[in-house]
Amino acid sequence: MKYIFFNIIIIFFLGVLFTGCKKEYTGLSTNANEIFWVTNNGADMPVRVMGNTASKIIILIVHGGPGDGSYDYADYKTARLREKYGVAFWDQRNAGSASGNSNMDKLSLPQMINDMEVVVKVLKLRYEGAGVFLYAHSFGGLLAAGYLVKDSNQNQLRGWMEIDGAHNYPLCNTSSAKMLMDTARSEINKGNYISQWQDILNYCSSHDPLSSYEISSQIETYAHRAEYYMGIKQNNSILSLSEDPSDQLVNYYNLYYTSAGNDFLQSLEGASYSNQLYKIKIPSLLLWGQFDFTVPPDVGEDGLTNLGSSYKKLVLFPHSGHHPMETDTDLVEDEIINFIETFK
Amino acid sequence: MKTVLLSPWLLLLLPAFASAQDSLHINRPVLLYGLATYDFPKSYGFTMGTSIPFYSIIKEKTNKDFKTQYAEKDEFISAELGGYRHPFAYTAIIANAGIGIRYIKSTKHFTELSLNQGIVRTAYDGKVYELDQDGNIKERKLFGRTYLATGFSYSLNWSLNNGSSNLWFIQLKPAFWMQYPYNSFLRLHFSLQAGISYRLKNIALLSRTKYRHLL
Repeated sequence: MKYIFFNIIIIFFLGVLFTGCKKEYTGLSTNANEIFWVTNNGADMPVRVMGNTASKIIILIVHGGPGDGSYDYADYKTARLREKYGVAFWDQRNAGSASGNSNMDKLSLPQMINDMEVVVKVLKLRYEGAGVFLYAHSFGGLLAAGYLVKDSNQNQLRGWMEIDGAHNYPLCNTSSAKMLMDTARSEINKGNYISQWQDILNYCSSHDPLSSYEISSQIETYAHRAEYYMGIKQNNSILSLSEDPSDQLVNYYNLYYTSAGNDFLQSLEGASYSNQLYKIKIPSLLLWGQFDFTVPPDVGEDGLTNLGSSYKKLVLFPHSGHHPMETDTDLVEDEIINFIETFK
Repeated sequence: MKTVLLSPWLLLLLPAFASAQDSLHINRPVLLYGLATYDFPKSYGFTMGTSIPFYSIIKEKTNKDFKTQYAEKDEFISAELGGYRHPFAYTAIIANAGIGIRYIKSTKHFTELSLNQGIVRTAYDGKVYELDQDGNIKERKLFGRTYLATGFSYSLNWSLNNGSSNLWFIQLKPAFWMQYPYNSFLRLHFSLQAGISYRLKNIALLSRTKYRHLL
């Protein structure tokens, strides 16, 4: 009888292991769904590639946060893009499902730029001959700008889309405070959410947004609330950012409750690439939500002014805040498709 | 003097016990088990293991009506080997050693509480790339990470046999465990396991019986 037991167990065990060893990479396809990993200086970062890789166009998602994940973009927000192109969902280090052992001490913007260099190199190797475009959102805008102005990195790409991208953190903070105060005065006059807007106005008019990380964090909190007061649809669940909520809990704990995480966040407060954007010559598409109080349209204007690209365009979406891909999905995808079709 | 007079009355008011204990050798089963695992939110796998009792405590309680009740506890050590797969992420092998207590409710039913300490080795899905010293991309074969794992589990077991043989049991086991260091912290898991246990053989072990009689 015990031999039956052993046989059942061994067959089941081998079954699990063999399905685990199956090769995920399926080559170029009109409906790809594959994964590869990039390991770099203590972090193992998954890149899930979905959609039409046979198009030989790959859009690399450079997600926001920091600490979020790319999984949040793998739904309706990129559905049409995946039909036409391959979309690579990269989880940055200490974000999404990226893993590793003891690696928080290595979390820094220069390290993440280095990670991105490796990821783009791997994409170019893996999908030989493919044109790569960046889709950089929020914090991803800072990371992408840092990548593009470094050395000759931009030569690896056909173009980039910056979507409410924070390529200049100090400007984000000052513009956010200014936009909040201007809107607060206007909304109070209209009689909308008077006490809430008054709180925002009081805080922003009495605090210098550049003086500390705590103040800029509070302003960012008000910026998210302001979108709600202006009637912008929001998805506030952090659980949708990563495929596995346990991962997201680890990443958020690390960022907000450890000294290494806080040091990293504070180091970003002075990060700006505005004065180096002139180095970027590849086509640039800037997509912004009109009611983005977190990374206001002023930051998009700054990009348009400073970019060295011969083709650069800023599009404002009238029904959107910080996530126009959620609220003006079709319009955003139309702009991206037109851009890629022009420069692929 | 009042105290002396009151004492017999107090004895009547309070329940009275007589306790005793002795030691003997009894036979207890070594169990083999195989469990299908679902680790939330989307991993699945299989675990096989064995548990070996090393000490047993039997509590015999006789109440006022001279009805005797038994409560049996076996302390055991265990060893487990398992594998699980997180689709589009990694496949992992986990090896655990554990210590636990088995609460025997009847010949047909027992529960177990155990603490496990082990090691997890992952191997990522798909290809793994890294930059070599010359700046070229190279592929790493079967690349993954090694983590420690610590967890608690509670299992429920029911006999599958009608007679007294009790060779096979069905087992349901929820477990909380954590892997670490994961991104410099720890990653929490909740698993639900279900499967079968098989009584491999009986071994003799030291048992202590505690008697408790209500007078």
